[in-house]
Amino acid sequence: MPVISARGLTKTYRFHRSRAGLGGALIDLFRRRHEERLAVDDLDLTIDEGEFVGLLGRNGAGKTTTLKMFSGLLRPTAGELSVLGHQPARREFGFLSRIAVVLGSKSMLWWDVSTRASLDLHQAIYDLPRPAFRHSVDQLVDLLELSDVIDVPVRQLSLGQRMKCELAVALVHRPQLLFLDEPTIGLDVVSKAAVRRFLATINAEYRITVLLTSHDMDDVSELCRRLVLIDQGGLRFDGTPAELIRQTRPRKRITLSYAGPPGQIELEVDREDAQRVLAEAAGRGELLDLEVRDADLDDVMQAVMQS
Amino acid sequence: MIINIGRPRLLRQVRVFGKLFALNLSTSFTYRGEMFLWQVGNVMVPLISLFVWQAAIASGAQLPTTPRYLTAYFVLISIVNMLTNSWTAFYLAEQIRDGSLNRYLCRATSTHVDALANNAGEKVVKLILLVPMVVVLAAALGDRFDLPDQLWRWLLAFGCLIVAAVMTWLLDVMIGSLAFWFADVNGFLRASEVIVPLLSGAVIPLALLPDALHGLSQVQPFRFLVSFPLEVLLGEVQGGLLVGLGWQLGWLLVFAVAARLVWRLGIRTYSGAGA
Amino acid sequence: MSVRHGVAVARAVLTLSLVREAQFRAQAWTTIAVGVVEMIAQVVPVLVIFSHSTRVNGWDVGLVIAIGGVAEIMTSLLATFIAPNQAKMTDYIRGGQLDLLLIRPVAGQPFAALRWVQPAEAWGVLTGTALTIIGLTASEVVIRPGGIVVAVFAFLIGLLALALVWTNLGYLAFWLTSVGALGELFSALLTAGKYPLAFFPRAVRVIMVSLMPLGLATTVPVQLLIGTVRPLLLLYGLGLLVVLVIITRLVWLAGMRRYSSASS
Repeated sequence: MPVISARGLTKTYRFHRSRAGLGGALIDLFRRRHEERLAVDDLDLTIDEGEFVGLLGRNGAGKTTTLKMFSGLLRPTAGELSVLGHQPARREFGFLSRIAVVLGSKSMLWWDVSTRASLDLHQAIYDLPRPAFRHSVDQLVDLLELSDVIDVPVRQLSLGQRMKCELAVALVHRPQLLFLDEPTIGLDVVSKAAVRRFLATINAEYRITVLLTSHDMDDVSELCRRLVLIDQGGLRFDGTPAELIRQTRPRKRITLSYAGPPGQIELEVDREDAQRVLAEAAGRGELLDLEVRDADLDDVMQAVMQS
Repeated sequence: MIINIGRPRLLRQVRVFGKLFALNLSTSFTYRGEMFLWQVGNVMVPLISLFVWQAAIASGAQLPTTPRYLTAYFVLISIVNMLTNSWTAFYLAEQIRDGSLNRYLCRATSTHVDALANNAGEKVVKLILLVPMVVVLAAALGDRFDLPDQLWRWLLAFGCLIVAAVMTWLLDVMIGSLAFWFADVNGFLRASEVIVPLLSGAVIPLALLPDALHGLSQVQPFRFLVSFPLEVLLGEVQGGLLVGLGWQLGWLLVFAVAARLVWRLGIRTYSGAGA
Repeated sequence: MSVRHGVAVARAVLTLSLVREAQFRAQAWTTIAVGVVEMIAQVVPVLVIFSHSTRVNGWDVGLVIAIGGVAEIMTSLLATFIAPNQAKMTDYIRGGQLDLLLIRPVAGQPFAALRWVQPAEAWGVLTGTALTIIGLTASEVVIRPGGIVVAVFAFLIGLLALALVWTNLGYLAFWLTSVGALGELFSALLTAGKYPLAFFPRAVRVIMVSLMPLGLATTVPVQLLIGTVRPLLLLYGLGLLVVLVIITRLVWLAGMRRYSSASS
């Protein structure tokens, strides 16, 4: 049975558009302009156990809305949605106790106390048997290297340490499904690497299905084996990163560094021509360095979003 | 993977409440400076009313209650007020507006447990700070009022106080829930902060209202938020003790049903914006 | 900073606050409704008191309502101009945001004191004036135009004195942490201004004309209107004001010294 099964998923928002200036603000007092926005439009998506899926798209494309519908935070306007065999919006204990949500920009931890206190609280919330709880905590502290910070009040931690603690608390109840919204936002290079290592491990070893939204293409390229592109509420692409690259930017990039002229040059070359170009390049002069690669995921995303 | 069906829902929530209560208690303790000042205000404001009424009595006013009752009322009202008070509406509205309600929605616990635990935890600290002040005030006015000596009366009044506190909290949830439909609930908050204290007896003892209004003031729900527990304690329950208890429990039921309904309706329209 | 500049800044601050207020549609409507409700709520306790007695310590119901009206005007003006800034004082100082204010090319102290304006609160000025007129009419008071001038003058003195006391309380944030609660306490105690000085015990009356000059802002103006007190009392008020201005400036300077010597 798939972990997430969405058919015809739709969500519309009502909002008002404010008029400019003082005069406009006064008019708004009496008559507001209401508009409806279609945030998610007839989305079909199936995700199986153990997958690591990246949900990508521009700001406002509908990916966060989709994530929130999957986690039960929002009620869909139309369509069928089944996550772990439940309707998320019902927020049943059987559902909530098997998912975890980490929102990068909003903290789930209690601010004035240590992470351990939050963990303790989660033990009560998710009704975890003591031995299993302790075992889970030990494992997470080990994987995330938290032994130094676990007893420090959260507000005294750095952003990187806080994010690792967020992950520990979110996962202590061993959910089957993890939703991540911008988990590495604002983190330094070392912390980002640690978080990515951790996510890869829990996905591989514990078979936790992960759904990730991120604007950091390094996150995506390192972790996601499947990409789902959402634009203007609709599904634009669903496949592997390699497929996406091949579809959008199929040409290879060849960087040649010569000792003499022309110095360093970059070429975009169709796959079939690559071998011929390389053979020619060797004959043009003394070659110091040669690099052949596919287009960057960053370039690809730029291309996709601009189209 | 831990497979978990979970214990009965109530038991789980009680455990979570217990832990949150302890957390909030210790956090509140760090704000004891502010809380001390709030309690000073809490004691002084009824004192102002007491001065005014004593001036009225000295000018020959004929009141339906004794001066001793009045003094006891104004000395004890600060404790009753503090113990039944609720501030959830403002914070709940904020959480709905900026989407931080999500924090609670995606976890396997009620969205309201933290608010209740915060309410209870802070009150413990406030009580510790308030009681000495009231004792000092009571000592200063010592011979001008009496307190009942029957234990059952104290216990019953305490029970009614708990019910009153729950009712006030439920009302707050309802007002806070308005944020599901209105961008700004401050107007409603202000309105309730003005109307409710009047009708609940926090500003003037309801016994002092003109006779024509007595019938109405006895049955309206806000009486049971502040005035009723105090009436039970001081032994002067308008309209009879048993009748009063019946009304309080009846209104409690109404508030509970209404709060649940409003919340249910509201959460359907929740847009989780801001995150 | 020139006067023209100051006026331009004031206008910009006011416009911004009005636009901000108008954004919250519900708030604007309900503020008006709440204003009316508050006006009624003001009057109810007084009516109840006077339903049991026609005169209390020499005051009748109309005059006490009039004092309530003046108190409402006072509270509204303080809530519009002073309260929002005092609440922010702790943030400015603890959060270091005072720096952001100080680098602006405007005089630091008044800017910090008056930067935030809550126009919606000003509705109370209208309801308060209405109450005052109603109260005076009910009391069948004969008012001379000269009396109004003197009364308004006295009111302004009292208002300014209170504003300064409140501002000074806010400045305690340079030294203490719980100052926000202090402002709220002050706000709660202001409610005593709804009643004539005569209602309070002697000791409290002394406080109400010195440390917390509520009496100067509410009782005295009404007394001047009905002619039961001599305008010479204003000299005392002016004297108090001068003392408060000096204290406020000294406290600010002392606070600034402490602020700039602490680094964060």
